[in-house]
Amino acid sequence: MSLKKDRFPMTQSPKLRITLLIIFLAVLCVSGVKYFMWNKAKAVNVATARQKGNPQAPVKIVEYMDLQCPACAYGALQLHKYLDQYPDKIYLEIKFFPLGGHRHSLTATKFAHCAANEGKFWPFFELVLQDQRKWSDLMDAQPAFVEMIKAVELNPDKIIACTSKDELRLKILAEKDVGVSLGIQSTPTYFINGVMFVGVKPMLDELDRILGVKKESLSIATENKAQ
Amino acid sequence: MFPFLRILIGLLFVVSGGEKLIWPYQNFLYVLQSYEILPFGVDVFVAHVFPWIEFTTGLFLILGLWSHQMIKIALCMFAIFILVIAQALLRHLPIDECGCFGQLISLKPQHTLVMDSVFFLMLFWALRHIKQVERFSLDGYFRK
Repeated sequence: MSLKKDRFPMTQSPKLRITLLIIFLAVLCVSGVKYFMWNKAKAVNVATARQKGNPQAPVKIVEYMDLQCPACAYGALQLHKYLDQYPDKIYLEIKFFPLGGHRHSLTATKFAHCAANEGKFWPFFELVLQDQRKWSDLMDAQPAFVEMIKAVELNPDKIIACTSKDELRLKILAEKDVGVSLGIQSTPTYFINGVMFVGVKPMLDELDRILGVKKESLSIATENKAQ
Repeated sequence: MFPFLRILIGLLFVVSGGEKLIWPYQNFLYVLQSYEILPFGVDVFVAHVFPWIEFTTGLFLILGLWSHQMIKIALCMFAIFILVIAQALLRHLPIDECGCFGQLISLKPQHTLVMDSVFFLMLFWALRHIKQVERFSLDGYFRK
C-alpha cells in the first residue's frame, strides 16, 4: 500500500484528486450527451426520389443542401463532373436542409419536391442552381420557379397546387429535422459512405482519395470553376 | 468583480467548448478550414482537441480550480482568437460569422474581435489581482 503511494505521490494531493475527478466527470457527461444525441440518428434513413448513379456503386454520397446556398450550387456542379466521369462508381442522393436565413429556400425546395414527384427532379434541380444568383435577389421568386417548371415541361398549375399543400412544408421540415439529428449545422454537408464532411473542399478531397484522382484533375476542376 | 469575471469567462468557454464537443467535430473543422490558417491534418487534430481544452478550462475557471494557470491558458486562447480573426479580416476571407459558438450564437468576426480583445485585457488585469480572483473558488478552499 505504501509502495503504491510512493509510486503515485501526486494522487495524495486532494486538489489533484478533485482535478482528476472533475476531468473524469466532464468526459463522462460529454460522452453521455453525445451518445444519446447521435445514437438514434444512425438508424434514420429516409428514401427519396432524388437519387442518381449506380445504386451498387462503391461510393455512396448523401448530400444535405439548401437550394439558395451558393456553396451548395458550386458543390453540385463539382459533383456533377465526378458523376459524369465515374458513373458506375458514385451514387448520389440529395436531401433538403433549407436554412432559415435564405428567404426563398423553402419555396425552391417545395418546387423541387413537387418536380421530383413528377419525375423531373434533376432537370429542375440543375436549372434552379444554375440561375441561383438571379432568383436569390428577387423579392418574390415564385414566378421565376414557375418559369423553370415550364422550361422542364411540367404543368405549372399542378406544381403550384402541389407546393401550396401544408403537408409538403411539414415533410420538408421533417427531412431537415433528420439532418439536424445527424448533427448538421450548415450546408452543404455530405455523408460519403456514412462519414460526414462539411463543405465542398473536404468532400472533394475525400472523393479524390477514394477514387484515386490525381492533383491534376483537381486543378482542372478549379479552372472550370473560375470559368 | 474578479470572481464574477472568472465565472463569466468560464461559462463562455464551457458553452463554446461544449457546443463543439456535442455536435460532430466536422462542423468545427469546417469553421477552422474557413480561416485558412492550418495545414491539412493539423486542422483535424485541432478540431478534435481544442474543444476539450476550451471546455475543461471553462469548467476549472467556474470552479476556481488552478485559477492562476487557467487564466494564463485563457489569455493564450484569447490571443489566438484575436490573431486568427484579425488575419481573416485583413485577408478579406468570406466569413460571415465567427463560428465561435456553433449555432447557439451568431457573431460577426468584427464583433468577436472587439469582444475577445476586451476579455483579453480584463483577464490580463485579473492576473495581476489573483488573490481577489481566487475568492469563492476551490483554490481558496484548498488553501485553508
